[in-house]
Amino acid sequence: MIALVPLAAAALWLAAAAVAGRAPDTRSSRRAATRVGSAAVATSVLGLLLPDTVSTWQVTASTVAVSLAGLMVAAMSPVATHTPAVLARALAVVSISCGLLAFRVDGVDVLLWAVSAWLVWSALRGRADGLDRLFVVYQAPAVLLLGLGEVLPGALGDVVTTIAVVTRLAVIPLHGWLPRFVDRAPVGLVVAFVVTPVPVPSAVVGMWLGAATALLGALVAVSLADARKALGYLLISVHGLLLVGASQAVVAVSAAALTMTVGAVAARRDGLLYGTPGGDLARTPRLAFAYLVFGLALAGFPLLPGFADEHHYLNAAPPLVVACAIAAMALVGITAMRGFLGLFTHAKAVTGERDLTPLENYAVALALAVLALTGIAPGLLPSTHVEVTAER
Amino acid sequence: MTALLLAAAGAPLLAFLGLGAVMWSGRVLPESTVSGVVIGASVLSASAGTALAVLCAVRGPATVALGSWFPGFPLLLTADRLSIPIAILGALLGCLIGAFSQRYLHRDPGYRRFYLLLALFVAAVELVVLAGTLDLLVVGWELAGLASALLIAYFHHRPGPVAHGLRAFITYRVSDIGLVAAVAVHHSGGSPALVGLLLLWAAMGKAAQLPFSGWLPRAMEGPTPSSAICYGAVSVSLGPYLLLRNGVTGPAVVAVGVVTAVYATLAGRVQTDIKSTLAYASMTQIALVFVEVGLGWDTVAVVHLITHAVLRSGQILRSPSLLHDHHHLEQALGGPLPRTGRHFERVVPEPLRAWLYRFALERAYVDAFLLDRVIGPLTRVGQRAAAADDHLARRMSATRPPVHAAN
Repeated sequence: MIALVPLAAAALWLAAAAVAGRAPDTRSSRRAATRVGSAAVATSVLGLLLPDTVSTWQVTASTVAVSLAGLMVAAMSPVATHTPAVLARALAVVSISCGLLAFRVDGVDVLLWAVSAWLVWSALRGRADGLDRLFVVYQAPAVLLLGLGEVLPGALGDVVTTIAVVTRLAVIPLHGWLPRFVDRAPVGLVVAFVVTPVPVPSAVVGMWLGAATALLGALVAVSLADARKALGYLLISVHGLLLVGASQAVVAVSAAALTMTVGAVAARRDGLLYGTPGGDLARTPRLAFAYLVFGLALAGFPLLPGFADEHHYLNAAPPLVVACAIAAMALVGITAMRGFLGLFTHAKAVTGERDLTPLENYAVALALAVLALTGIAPGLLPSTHVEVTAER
Repeated sequence: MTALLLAAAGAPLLAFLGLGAVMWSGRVLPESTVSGVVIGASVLSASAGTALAVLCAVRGPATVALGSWFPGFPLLLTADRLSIPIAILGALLGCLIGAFSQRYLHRDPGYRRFYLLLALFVAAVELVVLAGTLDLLVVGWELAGLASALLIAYFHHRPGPVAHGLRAFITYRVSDIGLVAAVAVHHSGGSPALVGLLLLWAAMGKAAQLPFSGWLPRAMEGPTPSSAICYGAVSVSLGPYLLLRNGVTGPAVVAVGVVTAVYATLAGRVQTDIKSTLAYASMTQIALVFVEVGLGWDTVAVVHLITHAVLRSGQILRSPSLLHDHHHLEQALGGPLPRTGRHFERVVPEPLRAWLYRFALERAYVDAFLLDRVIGPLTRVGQRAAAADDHLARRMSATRPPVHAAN
């Protein structure tokens, strides 16, 4: 079966990738991709009003989340690190994510996972730091295991699929690739790959693994003094919360927004060590405010959608899992505030740093509006997990 | 009743959201407009609170259901003899601080940010106080912590206020664990004693009780008006309010109060600046309120909270003029002010006095213990884990580790 709204969004993102790849330079590539990406977001939102028989409301809402993340990739990818070819690959990965929501046919999800991993790998290929090799070491087995999981019957198939998913989500102890990937790969690629919907296992063991990952990831994130390295562990932590029961759509938008904002700050500075050289929130208020709000959104702060989401899944989890998740979210909040104060204060002199550009502001404002709307009216949120593969 | 409760809780929140949206759009509003909106919202909130007080006196306490925010989250606002006085106090202090800051922060680069945060803080306090459920209380509780931490870090060009804002936020988040866990235990039908202990944990952080006391004296690095409303008056009062609202009493609450009161009164006596002295004085009084709450003396505790809040706010607002006031007093007396604390010299033996002085100066070694024995080891574990991950990833990438030139 094929869901029409995600399929339309996938087609539009593919068009965005094509347009971005053919542009003469990165700036025009970003502008063109943002225009087509906006059409994809609008199509997804319209789909909420016109549900077809296959795309449930939840699937369409997840498509909106993925498309919104894609729009942030298109509008906020730093010029220096995102050539038209890299941006095109990132947007193609976004298209595949929509495709994963569209197709409910056996084997297609394995194919899409493989293509998505190949696209990212091809953008990393040939780097001196060997990031492509590290990526393949984890992602190639994940794709193979997902395929094997579809073939194997019963509980064994479920176990193999779960291992594939936790590898893709970088759940501890299979997390080794993500911190380095977030630290070194172009942020657009990181976001496109990280927001891909996955079939989250419903087994209790997954919940326990998720709780431990959420807590340990958050503990490492809060102890680091580099915003980009901390971001890697923050993503690991929220992926752990996904296994506990957090909504993929909420995590996708918040994580994409925070990652792209960190990317925007990194593009303006040499390094992202807290307090060195420091910034000035009075001169870059939108950038600073966006960082804080997106960080707090990941931490399940009130008036943001993560709060209602947290309320739902904490009511359904075992006590120890709840304890770990609550502590993890407290640490994620501290990391967000530490990053905010570390990156946007301490400026000794006028830095000349630019606030959000109009294109960045467009994407950030849209993400903030969506977060505020779904935070104030959480009924608009999709249910926790959306089935993204054919029934097993 | 519903409209009044909505006005009391919602006016400052609307002011915050409206000002935030306008500021995001890049439009620079005049100072008078920004402060006018926040003061106006606080006046509206205080007026609604006063009308509620009259209605409550006539018809008795009431709880209003506003439907569900989302499934499993009922929106209930409550007006009774506990919530209304504190709601009026919070809104009135919001007006007072708003009016005071018009001159105090005139032409300050962060003027608009200050009022935005003040609106958020007043909104959060009203939400905490008027919340009819523990779930809704969490919303205001966390927003109050955020506004409070950002106000401490207001002077963001100086490292001190920024570090202290972060410290306050860390303390709040750690104590918030107790509140959110209490909600989770409450929903799962857990033991009331456990819920009570978790609420006590949450209250200790917000009210700066031991061992979460380190942030309060440092919080005074924020602007004086925000120190007055947050740390002299309302913010620290939210801890005892939480206990009063949920009927948490008993020896554990009394013990926390007694230990903190002794600690804070000792530490307060060796401070050399007025704002730190006032911070410890606040801590002492709030600790005594904890004792009253623990003993079940609810009315005494509420009266104590309100009178302390009003007095302390006035003292903190006046504190920048301390030297001026001191000279006036000396002129009026015709000589230096008499020494204080002689009774301690009579009561405390000489050898113990030096030890006590050092003990108080080091703040009972609590902060040092937390830093060296709790936060330090946890941070090191995290950093080592990250280093181990990086090492493994480098090996798997099959690249050579960076070679550092030997000098």
